[in-house]
Amino acid sequence: MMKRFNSNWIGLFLLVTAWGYSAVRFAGISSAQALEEDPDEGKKVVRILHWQLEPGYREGMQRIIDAYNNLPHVEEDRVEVRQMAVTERVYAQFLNVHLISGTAPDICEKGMSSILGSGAQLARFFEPISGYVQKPNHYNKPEYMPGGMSEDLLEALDPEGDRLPDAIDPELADYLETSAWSETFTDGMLGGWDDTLQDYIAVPVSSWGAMRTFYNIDLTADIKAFLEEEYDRRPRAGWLTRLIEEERMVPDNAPFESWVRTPDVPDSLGRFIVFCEATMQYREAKGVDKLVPISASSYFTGTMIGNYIVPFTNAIAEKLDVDHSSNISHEEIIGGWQTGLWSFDDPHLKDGFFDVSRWLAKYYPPGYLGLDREQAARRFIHSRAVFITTGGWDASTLFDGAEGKFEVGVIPAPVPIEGERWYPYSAGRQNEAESKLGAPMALNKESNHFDWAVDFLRFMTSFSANQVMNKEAGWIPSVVGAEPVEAMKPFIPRTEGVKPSMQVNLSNVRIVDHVYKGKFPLYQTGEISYEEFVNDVEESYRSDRNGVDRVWHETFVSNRDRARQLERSMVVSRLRGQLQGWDEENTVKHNNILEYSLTILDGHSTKAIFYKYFPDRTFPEY
Amino acid sequence: MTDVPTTPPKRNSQRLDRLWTRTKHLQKLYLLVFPTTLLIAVLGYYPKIDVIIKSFFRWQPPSVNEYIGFNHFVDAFADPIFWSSFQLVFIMLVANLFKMWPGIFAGVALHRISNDRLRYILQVCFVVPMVIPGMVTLLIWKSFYDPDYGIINRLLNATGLMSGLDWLDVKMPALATRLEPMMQGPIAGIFGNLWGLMLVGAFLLMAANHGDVRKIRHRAIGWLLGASFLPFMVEQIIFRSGGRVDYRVLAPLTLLLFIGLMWGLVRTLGPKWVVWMFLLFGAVFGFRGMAFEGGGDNYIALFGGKTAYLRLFLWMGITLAIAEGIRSVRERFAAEATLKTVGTVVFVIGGLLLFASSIWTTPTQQFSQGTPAWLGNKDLVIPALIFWGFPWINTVGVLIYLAGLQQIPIDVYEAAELDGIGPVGMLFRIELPLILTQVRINLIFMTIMTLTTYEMFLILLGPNGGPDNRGMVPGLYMFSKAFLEGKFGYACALGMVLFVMILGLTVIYNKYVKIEK
Repeated sequence: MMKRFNSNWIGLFLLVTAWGYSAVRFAGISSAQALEEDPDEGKKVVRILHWQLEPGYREGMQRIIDAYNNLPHVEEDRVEVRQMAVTERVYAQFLNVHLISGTAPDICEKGMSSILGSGAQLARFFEPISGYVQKPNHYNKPEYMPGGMSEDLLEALDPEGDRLPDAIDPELADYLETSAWSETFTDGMLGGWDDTLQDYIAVPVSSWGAMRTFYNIDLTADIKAFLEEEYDRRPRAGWLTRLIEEERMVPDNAPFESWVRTPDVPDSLGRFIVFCEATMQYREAKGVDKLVPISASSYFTGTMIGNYIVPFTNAIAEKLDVDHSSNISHEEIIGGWQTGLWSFDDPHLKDGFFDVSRWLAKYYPPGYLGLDREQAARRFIHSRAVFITTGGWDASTLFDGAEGKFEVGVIPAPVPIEGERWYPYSAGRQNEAESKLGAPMALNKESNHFDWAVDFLRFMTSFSANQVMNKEAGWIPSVVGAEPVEAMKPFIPRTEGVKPSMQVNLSNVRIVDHVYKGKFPLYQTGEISYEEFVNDVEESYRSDRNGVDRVWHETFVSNRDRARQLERSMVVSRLRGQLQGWDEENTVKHNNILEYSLTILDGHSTKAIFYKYFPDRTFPEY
Repeated sequence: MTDVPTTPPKRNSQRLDRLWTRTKHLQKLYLLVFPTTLLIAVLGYYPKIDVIIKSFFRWQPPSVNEYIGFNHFVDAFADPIFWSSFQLVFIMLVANLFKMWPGIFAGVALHRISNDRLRYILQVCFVVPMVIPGMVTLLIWKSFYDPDYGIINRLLNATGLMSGLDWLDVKMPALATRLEPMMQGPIAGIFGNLWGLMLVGAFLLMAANHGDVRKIRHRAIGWLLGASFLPFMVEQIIFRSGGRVDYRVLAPLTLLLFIGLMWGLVRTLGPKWVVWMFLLFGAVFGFRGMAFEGGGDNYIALFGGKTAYLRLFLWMGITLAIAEGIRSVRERFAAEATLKTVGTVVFVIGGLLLFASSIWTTPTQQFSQGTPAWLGNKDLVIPALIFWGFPWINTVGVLIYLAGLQQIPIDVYEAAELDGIGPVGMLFRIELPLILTQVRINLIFMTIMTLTTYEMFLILLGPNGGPDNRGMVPGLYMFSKAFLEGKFGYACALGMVLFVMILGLTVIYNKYVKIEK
């Protein structure tokens, strides 16, 4: 009798064969690698880490990295710069883990991580660069400038010939060549400065400019034509009458009429609301499915409403500045609330800011809180929204996405003008002059090629490389005289308006911000009334353990931590003075830190403000 | 003084010698397990131990590391967001009881395929989706929920189900309004509230499952009374104190009391009585703040007291009396079945009334336009999270069920067939009872996952848990405290609280939820 074949043998055969094949391959590759030269052997690899995944940025950075890697002295020393882009959602964890484990890249974009916010935390991992920024940037010498650079470098930086001018103004060239590196930045390198260290800790390489509202020019023209028809209709359209007469959004006067008869975008908040309502009516009348006035998401809601915090809360802020610092702290906000200096019944809040935020939310897409940034941008690009408010970092996404479909315009956020509903509560547009440069790149203390990392940052922030990179990214360059792409010009900060630090931003008051952040969207969408919203928020403020009294305590602790960080910095400065002598730079730095430390007084500045408000109470302890 | 010779050194060396001789043959084994033990200790246990240590520190690496004792735990017990995050966990755990069925059905269906090759192919098909990264699945599901462009709304609109939901959005709140007088009247008057009605059903089920009450010993009665009254006393202290009672004392005391009473009940009455404490815990939640207040004034006279508190105990007594009454007139198994049926009916009616009167009480006004914002509306977030992953066939779960099903001897099936049991009967009478061990394992996995997971909520709803923080779970709160606010020490303390809870639940599952085959 023939024995039946056991099919398990096939499995065993396959297993052994696979194992044998793997073993042979492993041995082959190992021996080949042993014989071959390691491509990275002897190379000095400088890694740069960032989270800018917007279109154009990585390409722009790669272009200047390639140009740098091909520079003769860089090639000679076998230096190679490599970029690492990590999504912002995990950037903080990625950076924290690698910094703590000592494996972080040589250059890291500073930000995202609350742990690495400022002070000693920063100084522990990143190298202060004050010693470098006082010297001129040698990559601004004529041989690296337009008109003077080598053919190879020009070819590497600007192969299409549209990113750099043929030559630059000799005066500007001279300034860039001879000035200290820090002086070559449009903000004097403020974007890389850390107050608690009194030192430059990063090199800002770009600017996103200020917040702006993008709009679809084609749709705007159509809707304006529709609005004109509605305005002229007799009897006038009911919705328009309601907005003008009942809601008092705009005065029915000659300037309004002349605006209605032009294809112009709304230039005031009242007109903006009228236009948004016209868009809703246009959608119904023309059957344009899914069209909304404003593209919003959980991300973009903040950018939209953020434009109105300063204008509407400035008047309250003026009352709260008890330490006369022209900056409203958390202590001043909560102390003001506790002592009745401001309340949620204040018309600037109730009839101003919160009313505006609710009106604007009427024109967001349904369920905007469940949408993300990409979905909102996609809606705008697909002409399903007229407006979207964001910063310059999204400009290239929106411009590129709309290319060939419609024209995109950019305006600053409209504010109320005289005669409009919200005009009595608004202090006017926010001043943007204090805008700092962005994308700050910090140098890892553990870097094996520290000098080369500094060298690359110098190259990155030289006139030519910075202009090329930012034009490619569609961002604003950080170097004096460097030109942005035409489309980014509207993002250049405006210097007139109200001081931005004089504001009452309730969503930033930590400890008590959770309820506010949770309930504010519900109020905006109309799911709860203003009274319910205020009740919930005030109840959380009054909470025994997690209310405003806790904020006092936590602010005190936080300031005490900061004071200790400053003391550590002072100790380092003193030690340096004793070992190397007190040069001018170290003396100034030490005195600045000392002065800054004295304003905090080991956290007792918080207690001083507390006792100013409540002379008879004991300071809350937990 | 003369020197007295001492013996202890000799005794110690003898002991060491004996230990050496006794373990000589095991030394190689110890050597073999040493590397694994070391790795587990360093990579597995050290981080956990560090978490325990750091939970006592105000830890904001790299610069702040200050010992603050139990402060974080006190904060954790007083943190309303942390505790309210368990509400969603509880809902998800209940939902899991329903969501596990498709997996069981899929396992049974696979098991019943007679063609080995086909079964193998289908098994492979079940495993293949596991190679898709979880993040991709999450993002795909997020796009499903897009109000305008998502597939779910499109499907609902195409099939006409959206109009059904819109109809329900009008009718369900109307039903809730119509039920209101009944809730405020008879239900509140007789049972305190709907939770009370459901508890009556649960007590009946307990009475059915836990045997003859007359056999309970005197010592056990003490424990039973203690377990029944003390949680209400604690609840009263909380609500009546007006915040004067220090959480530092109250929170650990409550926890200790709960665990102690559970232990006592289990020791004296048997493992199944572990459920009693959970029932009482549910009762405390259901009657929170109203233990000494009444409802349904018209019915007060009926039960002679204006207290939900007393009414509950009255009902506990009544249910036990009903159970004993039924037992006295019917034989044991029949009485048990009757009690189970009555208990289930009462429980289900309570549940349905709760659903009809308390959940959909106001119109969401989300369905009329055909674009409900599943992740953007506070009332729709939880249904969306429950629906997530439909049809809820978890590959690992199916494989676990399949492994259990394959262990069922063929003669059991044959015997069932001879008894005339059909395919459906086979599922509920043979297969399900015999894979209950696997079901328990899956439930433990699901519980742990529900309590610890945060990625899904972070991706779908953001770090604040979406509108009104409805999607906030303990894991997400812990993550946001650590990585967004930089409060690592506090996050460690929250993790410790969570760890104790998971450990407790797992111990209870393993020790007391016995599977009787």
